[in-house]
Amino acid sequence: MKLESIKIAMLGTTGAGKTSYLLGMYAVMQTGIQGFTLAAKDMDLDLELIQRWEKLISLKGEDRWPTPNAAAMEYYGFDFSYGFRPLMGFEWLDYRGLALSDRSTEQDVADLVHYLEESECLFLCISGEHLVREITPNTVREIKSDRMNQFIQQYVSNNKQPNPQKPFPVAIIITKYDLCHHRDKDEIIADVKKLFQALFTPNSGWSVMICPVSLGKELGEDPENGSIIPVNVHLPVVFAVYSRLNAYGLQLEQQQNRQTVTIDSIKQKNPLLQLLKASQLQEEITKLETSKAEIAVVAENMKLLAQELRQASLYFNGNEVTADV
Amino acid sequence: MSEGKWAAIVYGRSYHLDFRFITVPDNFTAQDIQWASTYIVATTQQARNLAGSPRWALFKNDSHCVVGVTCMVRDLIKQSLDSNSVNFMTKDDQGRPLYVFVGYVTELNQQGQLDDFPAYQAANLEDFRLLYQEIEQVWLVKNYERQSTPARLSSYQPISFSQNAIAPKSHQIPTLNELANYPQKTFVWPNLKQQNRCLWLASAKHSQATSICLNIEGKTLVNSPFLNQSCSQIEQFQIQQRIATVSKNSLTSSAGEHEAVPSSLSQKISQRAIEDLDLTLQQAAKVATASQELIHSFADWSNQVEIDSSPSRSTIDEIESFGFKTKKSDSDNQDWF
Repeated sequence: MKLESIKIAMLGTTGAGKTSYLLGMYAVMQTGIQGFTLAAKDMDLDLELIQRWEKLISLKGEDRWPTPNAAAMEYYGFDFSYGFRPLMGFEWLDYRGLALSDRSTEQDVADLVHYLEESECLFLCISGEHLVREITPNTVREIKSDRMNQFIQQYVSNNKQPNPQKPFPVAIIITKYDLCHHRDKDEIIADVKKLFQALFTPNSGWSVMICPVSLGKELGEDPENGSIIPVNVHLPVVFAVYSRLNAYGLQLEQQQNRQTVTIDSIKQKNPLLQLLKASQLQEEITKLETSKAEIAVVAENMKLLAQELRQASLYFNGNEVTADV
Repeated sequence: MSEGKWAAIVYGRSYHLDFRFITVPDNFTAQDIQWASTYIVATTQQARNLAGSPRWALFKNDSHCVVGVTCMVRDLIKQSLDSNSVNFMTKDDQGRPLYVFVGYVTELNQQGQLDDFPAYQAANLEDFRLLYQEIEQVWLVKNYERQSTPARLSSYQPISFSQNAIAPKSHQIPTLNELANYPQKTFVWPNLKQQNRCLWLASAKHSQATSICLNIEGKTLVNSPFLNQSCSQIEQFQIQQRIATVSKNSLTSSAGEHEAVPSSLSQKISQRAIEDLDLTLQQAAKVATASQELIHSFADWSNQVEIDSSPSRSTIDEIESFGFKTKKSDSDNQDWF
């Protein structure tokens, strides 16, 4: 089974911790989770990400954190594999551009629109420093959730038209969770829901994960010297892959239903016609068996990933759900 | 000949606000800003390698020439401020070390050559230090403040640089890549101080639109507009593709452009034969479909079994729940950490 590449758009304002998150995620996923691994398509990029990660975990002091990015967007290409067999490609676009800010120009907006229209999964990054206490109208401005919501409506919702049969995955990643983990989990979920209300409405077709990530529990207290021990950084990628497998599984199930109906209709015809259609019947039965086998493989992979997703909060059509096949 | 007047151009990040143009020349149009930003942003690639290795950039079109450096703020201002101020002015509100592009723009005459311009001085940034004042003036500006939106405008003024470049001997002048020659290529030189001086001078004296980025620590700048670069990972002069990846769209269009139109008689005949075969196959398929429909009608007539082709309710439920099940209890409602 090799699925088509998936395009992920990661949105977040400057300082949200996207680069550090990416480095942590790559380091963890390179080692692997349940036999699933991630590797940069370009060996140079692989080396670069590893070196940057090593700098982050080895250095103490102010220089350990990555410098801010001046470029509006950065592109990364990855292969997601199971048992080192490529399962799907990842085209990962990291956007921190001015389109999210009050100082955006037409070009900034055009870049982001182009970027969103092609994406099949959204990662929205919000920093835990803005969730230290209950949100206020000022939080919306700091996180730029108002701008994010507007872009989601205009260019993701209108373009992709998600529905329960064709859900669109969105991972809301709370970066630097170490800064706000003193708060009750349910309070934080309630705040996130307030910031992105439309994603939690009934029968809207959004499949949403709220995922706290951190590079280390001690960092909230001591960012310059605290130990780097990543927590949950792999989950957004696992969710993206799970969602892609889910979409593929839904497609296969629909195909299987059509094949079953065709086979039933042939079997109910009179013997003479059944004889005439014997080869078609055989062909449909073979196709059905192939579909069933593929669904079984998809379900098997999803089961492995579902175990990991228990650590996050998932919502589908506005209801809280668990990943389960 | 250049008139020797220069206007400040500064692109950087302040304490709270993200990268943007802080200062631009007063005659810069939106198009000029866009032109300059592609070069400036390219100089910030692999910014982690900037410490102690400022990148010197010079780029010009028909009307303007920009000279400047992209460097860590700490390297730019460390000699002019006390250690506490340096500590405060070199990091953003997330504690991350900052870098900046500071430079000057001059208007070019018809010859497109510069006479009076700052010399290449590797790690010595004296000629550009003063420009950091532009950032100091907006250092603590917040998003909602009026000063955050427009870039400040600078006027063209005569500037005396600390050290003007001395023209090298003609045999020392390297051949530069220019826009009119190989726009898709970038010439890459090893990062040698003396050679960088010559390259810098050659670029300034060059009469055509060209661009150069010198003293790049690490890899060459990829997908950048620079036609010439010098970088530490290169041991010998190389010519590389300027744009590393070609987008799918451009591949499609170029394939379309190259699609051959049959020219010879034999090609025309074979093309026609292929078209005829396609038509025959299409007609055969139509006949087959019609026959199938006839058989279906016969079957329906002889066997009045109505089959509902839509999936049953239980199937729809299954589709809806594939992969996700409604959470039934709070048994696994554990702490996220």
